[in-house]
Amino acid sequence: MKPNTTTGIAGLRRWAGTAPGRMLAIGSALLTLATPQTWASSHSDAPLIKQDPQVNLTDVYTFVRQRPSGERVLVVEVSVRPFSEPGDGVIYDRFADDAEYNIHIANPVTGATLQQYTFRFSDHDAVKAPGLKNPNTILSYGLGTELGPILTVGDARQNYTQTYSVSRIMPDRTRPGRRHPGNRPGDITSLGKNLLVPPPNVGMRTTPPYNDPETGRAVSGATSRETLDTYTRETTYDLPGGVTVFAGPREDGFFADTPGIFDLLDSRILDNNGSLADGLGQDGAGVDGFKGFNVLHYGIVIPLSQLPSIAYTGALQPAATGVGVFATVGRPRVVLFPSRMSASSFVQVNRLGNPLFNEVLVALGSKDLYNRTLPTTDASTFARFAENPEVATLINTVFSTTFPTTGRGDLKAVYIPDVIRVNTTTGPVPVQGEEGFSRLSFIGGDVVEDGNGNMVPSGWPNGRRFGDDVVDIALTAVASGPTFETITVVGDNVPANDQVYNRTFPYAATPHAGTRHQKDSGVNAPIVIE
Amino acid sequence: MSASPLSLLILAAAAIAGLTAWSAYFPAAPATRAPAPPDEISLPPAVTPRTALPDAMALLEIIPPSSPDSKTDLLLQERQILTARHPTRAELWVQLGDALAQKQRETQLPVWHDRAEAAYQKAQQIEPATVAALNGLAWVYGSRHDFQESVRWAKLALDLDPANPISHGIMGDAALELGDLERAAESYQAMLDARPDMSSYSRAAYLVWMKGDVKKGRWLMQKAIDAGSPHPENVAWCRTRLAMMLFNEGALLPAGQVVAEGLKQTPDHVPLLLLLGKIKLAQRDEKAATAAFESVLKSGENHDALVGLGDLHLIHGRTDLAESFFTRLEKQHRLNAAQGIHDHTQMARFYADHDRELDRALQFAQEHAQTQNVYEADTLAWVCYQKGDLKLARKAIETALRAGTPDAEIFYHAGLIAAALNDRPGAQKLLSRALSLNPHFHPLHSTKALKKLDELARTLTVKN
Repeated sequence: MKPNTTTGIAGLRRWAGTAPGRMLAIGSALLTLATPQTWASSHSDAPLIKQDPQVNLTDVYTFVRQRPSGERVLVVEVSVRPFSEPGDGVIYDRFADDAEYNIHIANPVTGATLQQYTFRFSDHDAVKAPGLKNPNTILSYGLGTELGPILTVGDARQNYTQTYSVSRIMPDRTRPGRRHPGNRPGDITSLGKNLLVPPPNVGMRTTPPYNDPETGRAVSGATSRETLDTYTRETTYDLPGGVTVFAGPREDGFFADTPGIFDLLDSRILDNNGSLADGLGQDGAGVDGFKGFNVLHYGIVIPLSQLPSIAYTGALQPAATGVGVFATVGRPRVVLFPSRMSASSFVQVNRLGNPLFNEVLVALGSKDLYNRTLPTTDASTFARFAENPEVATLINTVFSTTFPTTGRGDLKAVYIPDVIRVNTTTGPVPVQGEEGFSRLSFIGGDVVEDGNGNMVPSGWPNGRRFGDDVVDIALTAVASGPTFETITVVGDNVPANDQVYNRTFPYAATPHAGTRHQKDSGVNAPIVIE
Repeated sequence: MSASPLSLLILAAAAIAGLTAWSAYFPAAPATRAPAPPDEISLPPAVTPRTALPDAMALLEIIPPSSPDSKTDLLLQERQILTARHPTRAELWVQLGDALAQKQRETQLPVWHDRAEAAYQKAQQIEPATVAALNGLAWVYGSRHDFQESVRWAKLALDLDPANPISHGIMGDAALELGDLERAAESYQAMLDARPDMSSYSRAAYLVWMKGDVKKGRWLMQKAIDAGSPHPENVAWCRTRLAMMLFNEGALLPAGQVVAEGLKQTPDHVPLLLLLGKIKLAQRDEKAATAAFESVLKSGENHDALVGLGDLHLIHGRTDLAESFFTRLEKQHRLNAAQGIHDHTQMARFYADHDRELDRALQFAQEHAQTQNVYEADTLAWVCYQKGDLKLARKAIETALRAGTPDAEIFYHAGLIAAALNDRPGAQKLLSRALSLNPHFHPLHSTKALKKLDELARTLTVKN
């Protein structure tokens, strides 16, 4: 189960028309690509977005860290394109070239966007793509104008190289978009152009820097910029203005026994032996449904000094100050009878804030609606799903438990409006592999002091880190709230990701190698002594 | 659900073997050896000579005065009066034995074993076919770790009463201690089928947890707590176990809640206080950790409290202070050995954890060189690793890992051994597993696990 997301152009429409920083060339590509209207979210959150994987957001991660200089920053990383096959030869997965991928810094109370960072990617077209060096080969990677392993991103051996631009949009509800940089409402600032996307992890022979020369498997877990592999280091850009960005293929950092959860709460999730009369337990290990898959990934590091600070009441935080974070993706808006260019040129097809909201709490009939709307209307449209979680009813029905199914103000505090609220008055939080990190966040005693001297969760629901076991945290919250006087730990027995994360930006792990990776775990795993 | 006092007492008999609360792991993975023929557990030689009855009876003459606010002491007094009044009634001697056994659980002093044994022997002398007396004797030997004698008495009881839940429980305890989890499961199942109560639930809970089914383990342990017992100490023990399971999942907050609930009802329960210290240490609340460990030491020296306080000082580099606690520990260990308290495994572990006295540690650990018991095998592996004997370390850690026991320390030791054997991916996986399971698994070693992972990652940095 995962959060779901949509990207947002609908949002743009509301802010009296800020046009995106760099309009896509509305050419033949766009007209022929009459994309079905899709709305997406976590891996499989809603019916329509499921049809449009390239813009299907899977996870948003956001947390406070510190640069080596001591400057405190907010990290936001977004995964998209679920279940990318590492060995998906010839083309491999690329970002959609006609979509805009957005990160929203929002008001944590209302969900209204205060700053929007937009990523736009270059063309795929084999004939016209400026990123293609050699159209007369079957190899996208390993043979451009030269044959051999890719040594640096975009070199003569990387036949196809996608590029992207990043801009910051300051929304303005009252005035039409003005096309010049700045921090006033309506301003659009170009932060970077022609930035390179690193190649996919084809394997040891084509993309050796990603992999361990001995095993051919992806190497991950860098602790500093210097120790990142060549490709990732070269494509982690410190842009003028103080932000750092990355976009490219990464390992899917989510882990959960989603297959079991959606098989009518397979006995391995909460029951143990097919007998429903004996409580919550689980046989053996869960199955990580995301093991061995990659995603596409885009992220940004923003100095806290450039972010607004807004007081809010968060989950387990009576007096917090910070921002809300969510992500959206938009597809081009097709105008049939243009009298004049529409103010908004993208339609939001996917939205994602907190993990699991659209996927697990929002009912099927409303999932697509979630993806087309913005957090500002969550309170009126979706609050009921958080306050009366059907998942609690389901668990109660299947397992004869008595978890509270109504009046769940605790879940509403996490999910409504559906932006990940981050307290930006804390010091840097520990990430997996550092002392103090617990996958259970506050339940595991992993807390950090905020600016008021209060201890607040280091991980979700205060921000969300790579490695936060959001399924266990959410199920435990469903089972223990609204009072938390007795915490009942519930989970899916998948406690960790199948790859070690980086401890530096980008925190998402090195993508699995096409030629060496393993997908099956738990009962699906081959019976070998590892 | 009412249960005879003995059935409650024999709850987690192994706990009595001088292993307290959270460090009490006695179970082990089933070896991949040929299954033992029915009714045959492969047993080590007897370790305790049986106490001669006259000597034991003499012990009963000198039971110290009771404390009026202890329910157990009042019960004991009552039953002493009854046996004095009706010395030929076997069932009264059994009841006296049960009270003495409960006393042993609460004090952990071996002398109460001897007294209980005398009372049970007396009952058996009067009426040889007294099942409760046979069970009592089986319990006494089991909790002294003399499993051969324990199983012998339990079988005698089962011959007379084939469905007797207590006899099955004791048989299961012996199998668990010896690391034969399959056989333990059979015995516990028979016990559950005969009487689902706190005694059988808590045993089953611990067994399934040992085998890696954490959630079912917690659920069954909660059932044991809900089933309750006339002895508050028994329920407190179950809460300790439940909190230990949560702690091992890294769920510090819920573990603390369970401990707090237990301390409300039994404020002086040593295993709960020790676990509280451990949880507070993990939460870096050193004041509270110190208070918890010190409150244990008020009632006498205690291995885990001394180690806990020593480690707390070590974290801050106060080696002299730490050393003062460790000196006390050594002294206590010598006294225990003189009294016949069996704490070698615990001590070997302490030495290995602190990289000292490794020759003695090896001597202790090798008492269990053939063990199938998870905790003993893990300790043996850890000591051998520290000594540099990787071959033996590997063999022992494989035994410790076999059941899938969700204890981060085992994965940590396994990770270090794998790294020493140049199995880098294996080491990374095991160390990550330890830290994912419980990032606070040890006050000194969890940070070492992080460092080791870093080291392995650095050697992996591809030369670009």
